[in-house]
Amino acid sequence: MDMLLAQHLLNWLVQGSILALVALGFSLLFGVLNVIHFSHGDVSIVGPFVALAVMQYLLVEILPHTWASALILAAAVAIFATGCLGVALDWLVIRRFRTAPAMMALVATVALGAVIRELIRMLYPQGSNPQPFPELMSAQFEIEGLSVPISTLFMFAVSVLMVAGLYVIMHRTPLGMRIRAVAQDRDIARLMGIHPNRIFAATFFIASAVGAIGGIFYASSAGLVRFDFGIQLGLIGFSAAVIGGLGSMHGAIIGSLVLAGIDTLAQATLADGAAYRLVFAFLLVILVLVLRPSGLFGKPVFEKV
Amino acid sequence: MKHYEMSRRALLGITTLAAVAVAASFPAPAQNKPTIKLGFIGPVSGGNAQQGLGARNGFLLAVEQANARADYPYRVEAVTLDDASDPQTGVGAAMKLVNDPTVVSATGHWNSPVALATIPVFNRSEMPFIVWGAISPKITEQNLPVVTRVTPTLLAENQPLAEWTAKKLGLKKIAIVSDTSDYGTGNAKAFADFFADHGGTTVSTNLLPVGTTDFRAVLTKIKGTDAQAIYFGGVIAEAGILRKQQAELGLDMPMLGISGFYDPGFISIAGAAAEGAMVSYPASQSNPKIDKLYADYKARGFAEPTSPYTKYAFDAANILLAAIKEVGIKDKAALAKHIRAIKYDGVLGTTTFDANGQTKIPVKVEIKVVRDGKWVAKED
Repeated sequence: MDMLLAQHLLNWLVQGSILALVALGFSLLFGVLNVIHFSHGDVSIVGPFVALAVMQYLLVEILPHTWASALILAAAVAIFATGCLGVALDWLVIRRFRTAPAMMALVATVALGAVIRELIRMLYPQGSNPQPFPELMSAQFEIEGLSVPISTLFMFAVSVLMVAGLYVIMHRTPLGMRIRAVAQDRDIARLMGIHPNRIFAATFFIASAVGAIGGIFYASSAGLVRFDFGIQLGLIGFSAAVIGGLGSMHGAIIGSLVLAGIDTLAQATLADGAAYRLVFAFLLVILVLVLRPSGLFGKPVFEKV
Repeated sequence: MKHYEMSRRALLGITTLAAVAVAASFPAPAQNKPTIKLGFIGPVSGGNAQQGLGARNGFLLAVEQANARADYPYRVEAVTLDDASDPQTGVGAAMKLVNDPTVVSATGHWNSPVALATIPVFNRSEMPFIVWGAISPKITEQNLPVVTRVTPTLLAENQPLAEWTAKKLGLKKIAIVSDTSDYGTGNAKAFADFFADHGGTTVSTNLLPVGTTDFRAVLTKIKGTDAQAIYFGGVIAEAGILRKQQAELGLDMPMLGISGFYDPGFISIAGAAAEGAMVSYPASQSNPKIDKLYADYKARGFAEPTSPYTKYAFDAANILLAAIKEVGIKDKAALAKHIRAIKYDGVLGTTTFDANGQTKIPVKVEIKVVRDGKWVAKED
């Protein structure tokens, strides 16, 4: 295979899988709560910041640790902490809009995103400045001119595993069944003895923890992280979920791959493509919304009269 | 009880009076002088903060030294504001300065897009403004009467770099990556033009928005060309990301640029991949005045180290102070005119401005390279 084509494909796969981890959260939360959680991108970016903070603590306080194991430990703490943050945000803010019109929850989460961003900026030392973020693994190998960093393979593998794991949780465990039951009909689920609030908390934990993995991968693949990365990550992740169809898990994955594909394609083939990469991505969003308002895999919504 | 309280209050009153009396009796000529304010704007937060903080401290040092001089006719208060490298924030800061009637004049900006956004604001309210760090030619090409600039334009840095790349490095084909701001597009065009003058060709030009974190697609595209080096025309954070991803993709070729990413931040982001990156940068001068500036800076004990722009902001502040001393604060138009016509002998040498307000101090450029995680002068 052409070396350049292979390199582009690799770039596309990694970008798409990072995006999918964030888009999945949007889709999951929308499916279960009927809420567009617009601060999900910002929540996800809390992940790399917690990981950095923990890692610096580990390196300073509990020496000697090798760099790699410190990073893995720090990432684990960050993923758990971000999951808890999601639950806390639901409890503090979002749960107050359970019965309110969807628009109110949407506006509240937009505001919540701004609060999270500014809190990162305030609380993290030198929070306004970009923070260098280490690679997950530094080794790389080369096959016939195609250079493959191990970390890209790792990120791709973890993303696939996460998606598989989520699928198993949703379809093979009692928790997943309850989540799906609540998503289908909150009231009937309650009649069946399911506590919707516990299910919401579990959903928020899963979505935010998976988002944190996406955030950590995003930071690691860029090589740095900044307090406002959540805006773009959230916007693109949300768009990917919309393309795939909000509420559909495989839709979120396909949507992410499509969006990353357009982005890579525009940059690789068009003369001035790089400057307008986001234009093409968002044009696609508009196109999908016009032609298939419920996304590629979303179920059409019927308004009950 | 009541009596006790009264006496305590009386005691407090007496103490206060005494304190005021002591304060007043200090030989403080400063208090007889009218107070004026001088503004500084720069990126003191965000990815370019190192540049902005060093410049801000240079500005503060100049103001403090003026205040310490008995013969300076005003007590000067420094107003330092952040533009965070963001045009919108910059205009907000500029509005704050021009809306304060006690602010006489100001100096500002490291980022060209920010400067281009704020100079109309200063021009509208006729506030004399010196640019200390932004280097897009467009800033002085507009010839706004209140605007002058103490730094050379990006043309002055790109021309020698292009010549050096073609002649000394002997490269013929280059790929250009830059950001889509005025600064980035200005660099991309300037370098391509100068490189062509010396027989080089640009095989690929890629402009990406500021804030881009993924250069892999563009770098892969460059991998498919016969480029011998990458010229990057943007600033620190993106430069670091680009360099790191360049190494990741196994694109083993030099990375060149101008002062825009001559910063330790570039190295901390790119990590080991930073090695060998080269920039052209105005050669460090050594004269008694600049040595004194750095000694004073050290003695003052700022929390941040000097940045390459400390000296520019220091001279910009001193030019404003000198002009204010000469012309006074009443007539802003006369003040701006006086600055244009000034012949100021400072740390940068003798600054005079051309018909557009651009400094006429010639620049000698030297090549800096990253070696062992540090920027050093390139041994020819």
